[in-house]
Parts: sequence; structure tokens; C-alpha cells
Amino acid sequence: MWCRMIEPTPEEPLPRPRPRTAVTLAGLAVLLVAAGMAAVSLGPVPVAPGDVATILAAHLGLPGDGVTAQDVLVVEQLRLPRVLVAALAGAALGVAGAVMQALFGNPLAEPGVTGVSSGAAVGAVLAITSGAAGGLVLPAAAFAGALVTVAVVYAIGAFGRERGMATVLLAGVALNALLGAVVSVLVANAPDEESLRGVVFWLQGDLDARTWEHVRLIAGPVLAGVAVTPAFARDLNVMLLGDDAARTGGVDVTRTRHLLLILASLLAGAAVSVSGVIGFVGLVAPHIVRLVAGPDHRLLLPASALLGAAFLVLADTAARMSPVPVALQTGVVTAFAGAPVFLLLVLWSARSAR
Amino acid sequence: MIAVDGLHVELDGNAVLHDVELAVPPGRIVGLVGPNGAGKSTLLRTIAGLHRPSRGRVLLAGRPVHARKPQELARDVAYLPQDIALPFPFTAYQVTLMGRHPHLGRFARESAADHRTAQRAMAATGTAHLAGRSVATLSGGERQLVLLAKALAQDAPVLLADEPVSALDLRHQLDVLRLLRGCAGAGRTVLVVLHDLNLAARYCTELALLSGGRVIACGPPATVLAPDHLATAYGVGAVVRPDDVTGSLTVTALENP
Repeated sequence: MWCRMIEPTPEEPLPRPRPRTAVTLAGLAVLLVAAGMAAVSLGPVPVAPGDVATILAAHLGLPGDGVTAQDVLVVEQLRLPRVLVAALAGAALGVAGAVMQALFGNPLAEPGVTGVSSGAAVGAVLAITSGAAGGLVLPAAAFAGALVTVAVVYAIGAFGRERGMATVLLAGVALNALLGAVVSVLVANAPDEESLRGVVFWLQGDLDARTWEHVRLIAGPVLAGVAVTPAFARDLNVMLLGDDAARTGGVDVTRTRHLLLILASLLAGAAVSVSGVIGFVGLVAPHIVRLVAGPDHRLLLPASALLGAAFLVLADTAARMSPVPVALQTGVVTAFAGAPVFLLLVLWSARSAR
Repeated sequence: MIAVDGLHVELDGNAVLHDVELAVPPGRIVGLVGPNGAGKSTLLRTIAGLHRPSRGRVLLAGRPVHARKPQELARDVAYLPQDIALPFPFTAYQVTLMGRHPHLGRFARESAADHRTAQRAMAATGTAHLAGRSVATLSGGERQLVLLAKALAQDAPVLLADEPVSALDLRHQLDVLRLLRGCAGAGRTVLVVLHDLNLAARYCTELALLSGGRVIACGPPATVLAPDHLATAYGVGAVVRPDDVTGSLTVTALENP
């Protein structure tokens, strides 16, 4: 037997890593504003970004000279509400995805994959077909549908007693198929199919023809959900250590989990009620943030909101700007961007699990 | 002061602990020893508030642990699990700093003092050089040391450790047990589940020998590690004698004839 002897070198202590919270959030906010400006100025009738700024600034009492009435109409009545709906829905989906990944201990969980968005769609379609969808009834029904689905996914995950990927994802596959079928039946048998915008809208979400009414409908629940979840950011960090370590580390695991599942359902339900099922935003946004700035939820939650918003605004702009014979729905664009990310994560998880 | 009072615990309908009585004053390091399935980890986890007793109770400074809120309990009791599986790349420093969670309000950020506590805990466990590493990429032994650092950062008067040396090499086993004994020496109450009777005899002030969910002997190592107790618990004969070097007791199990 022979071996080469090497003297161990003394190890240098590493400096404490400091995530740059403020810088990251400021950068993402700038990205969101830039994406929003680009989205408002691009379209069949281009409006120069400077004119967009002038039109918006007029609401702050600044002189709004030098812009045409047509531009004002296009910006204020057509594009701005659509961009705001995209930003709100994207923020909601980004935060809901980050929360669900932490609660299920599963990097692949998000409202679309787990079937929670489909549950919200069933709730929304039920509200419309029953003729009850006035005011906040629509997002409330979507919230209820999301909540029931979350409870089912959670119960299945708890029954499987593992934090691994398979159970929750397989439950999501089954629930998506089942709830998609329910949506199809409800839409096909609806007395007034026109008001439902067709089954495709609900199963492959779109932001076409979104108005200020839709902005008003979801602004409250989305902003409230996005504002409240960071209060539980440290609890989410500790909960990732596992239930035992979290409970003995000072977290009321059951109560916190229930509360956060309700918040995630509220956010997913709000998004789905005005956009249909748009997948992968809740997957892409948190994972890019984790790659860039680490997994601490104190940064991850607000950053996922900003990045999810920017991502959906950009995806929707791409859908709108697709060359004429091609018609793309917003949900198609997010799927084109998100599905490869999902596959990479599956491969990566499968490798690291070995 | 931990007082375990007439404790019965059932898991999934099976009785795991029967009528356990135990009282541990501060400043002691008590080893929970016994064969596999004897109920050592269940006893530790029940004291940590993770299992609800079917009868009896666990009192901490006179108050039952199961009636207390997790955050309040975590300021008094730190629990060190055998291992964790982290699905996201938190660094060893971030995990250690999580030990400060029960001391912080909902909207508070860690103060400079919290960071100092975490850094001291990493230095004490010899994990400072791992601070920037993702916990998921550490070896099992390194991760165990980081979890100990987190438990120390929690700065609780009671420290419960479930097989803290099971994944550690020779030198780190001694380092960790010396550290735990030091915690007891500084006035904390330390309960530690150990499989190695020699290490238990060398580092613990008292032992509790469990078998079949009952405490069959407790007290100083010299009284607990009697050959007839070991025969009852483990079903093997054993020779117990002082070690030539350390002077503490060593147990040599005998092959059954």
C-alpha cells in the first residue's frame, strides 16, 4: 500500500455573505417600470415613450401638451389597464409560486403545476355561468376554487408524508386534467357562452381586452397579499429546515402554513379571475431570484413579485406583438419561456437527488 | 430544571414510552442511552414539545411544555435534530442565524448582537470556514456541526441533542461532546441521545438507560452501566471497567456463547 501525504492547509474563515437586498429590489423595480413603459408604447399605434411619460405625468398636474387625443385614448384606455393587469397578475403568481415552493418543500410547485390555478378557473367559470359574477364575486369565487384545490394538494402531500417532488406533482397532473375537464364541461354547457370568452381563455390564459374594471377587481387582493406575505418571510426560511426543526426553532408551523396557503390561494385566485390559467410565472420568477440573490424569503418574496410582474408584462407584450398571421395568447408565451425552465429544474433535481 | 412526570407517549397507536419519570437540574449533561427502538429519541422529542403525551407531562421550570407557544418555548429549549434536508441553497451562516428566530419580532431584522452570537456559535463548533457554503452541499458531519451551531445560537437554557455525533469523525465527536459538556458547565441543562456507551460514560454527568419504552436505570454512569442493566437492555453480557487512559468506564460487549 502506498499513499501520498499532504499537510492540510489551515482554512481561512470566509467573510459573512451579505445579500444586497436594496440593490436587487431597486434593480427589479427599474426593470418593471422599463417593461411597463415599453409595453405601453409598443403596439399597432406606436406611442413614443416620451409621450407615454407626458400622458401619465398629466395626471400628476404636469402640463400634458404635445400629445394627440388618439394617443391619450390608446394609452389610457387600451394599453395601460392591460399592462397593469399583467403586472398585478404576474406579481401575484410570482409570490404565490415562491410561497408554495417553500410550503411544499418542492422547487417545482407553483399555482399552474399543482392545479391550483385550474381550481381557481373552475371557481371563476362557476361564478360566471351561475350569473353571480358581479363585483368582487368573481375573484372571490376563484379564491374559493384555489383554496379547495390547495387543501386537496396539501392533504395528498401530507398523506404521502414526504417532502419529495413526486407526490405533489403527480397530484397536480391529475387535478389539472380533472379541473380542465370541469371547465370544458361548464363552458360548453353555458347558456351564454359569449360572456365566458370560450374555454381556451380559461385553460390557456390571456390578457386580451383587459380594462380598468379588471384592474380594480384584483388590485385590492393582490396588493394586500403581496404586502402581507413578507411578514412571514423568516418563518418560511425556518420552515424549510423541516417541521420538527421549525417548531422547535420557534415557528407555529400549522398555523403559519394554513395562513400562507390561504394567502397563496388568494393571490392565485385573483390572477386567474382576470387572466385565466397562466402557467410558469410562479416557477420562473422565484427561481431566477434565487439564482441571483439567494433563497432568503425576506428578499425572495418582494423580488418574485417585481420579477413576476415584469415577466408577465413582457410576455404579454410579446403575445400582442406577434407578427400578423400568428396569434399568440399570453399563457402560450409564458409556457414557451417557462416550460424549458421547468424541464431544466426537473433534470437538475433528479441529478441532485441521486 | 426539566421534570418528566408519569409520561406515556403513543405514536400511531403504539405505546412508545411507559410511565417515564426523570428530573434533570441545570448544569447537568444527561445521556439517554439504550438499544434501538427503546424510545430515546421519542423521549427527547416529547421534552422538545414535538409529541403530545397521552398521559403525564413534561415540566420546564414548573410549566408544562405542551401548553407553551412555539416561539416562547424555543427561547427556553433548543433541539438539535439528527439531520435536515434543505431543498434550497441556504448557506451555513444563514442557517446558523435562523437560531435567532425565536428572539426576534415579526418585523425585526437581526441586530449586530444576533450576528455576533451566530458567529461565536460557528467559531465554537469549528464551522466558521463553512459560513458561505450551501448547507445542501456539506457532508453529513459538517451539516450536523452547522445544526449544532444553530442550536447554540438559539441560546436557550435547555439543549436537546438527538445523536449529535452519529455522523462525525473521531476528533469531531470529542469536540462536540466537550462543547456540550461545556454548555452544561456554564449552567445549561443538556440532554443528549447517544449510542456509544463509552462516549456517554466519558462525557455525561448522568445517564438514563431506556429499554422497551421504560427507564430501567438512571444516575451516574457507574451505577447505570452495570452488567446486569446492560444484559436487561441489550441482551448481551458485558465487561465494564475503567479505561486506562481516561479513567472513565468502558463497556466491552461479549459475544453470546
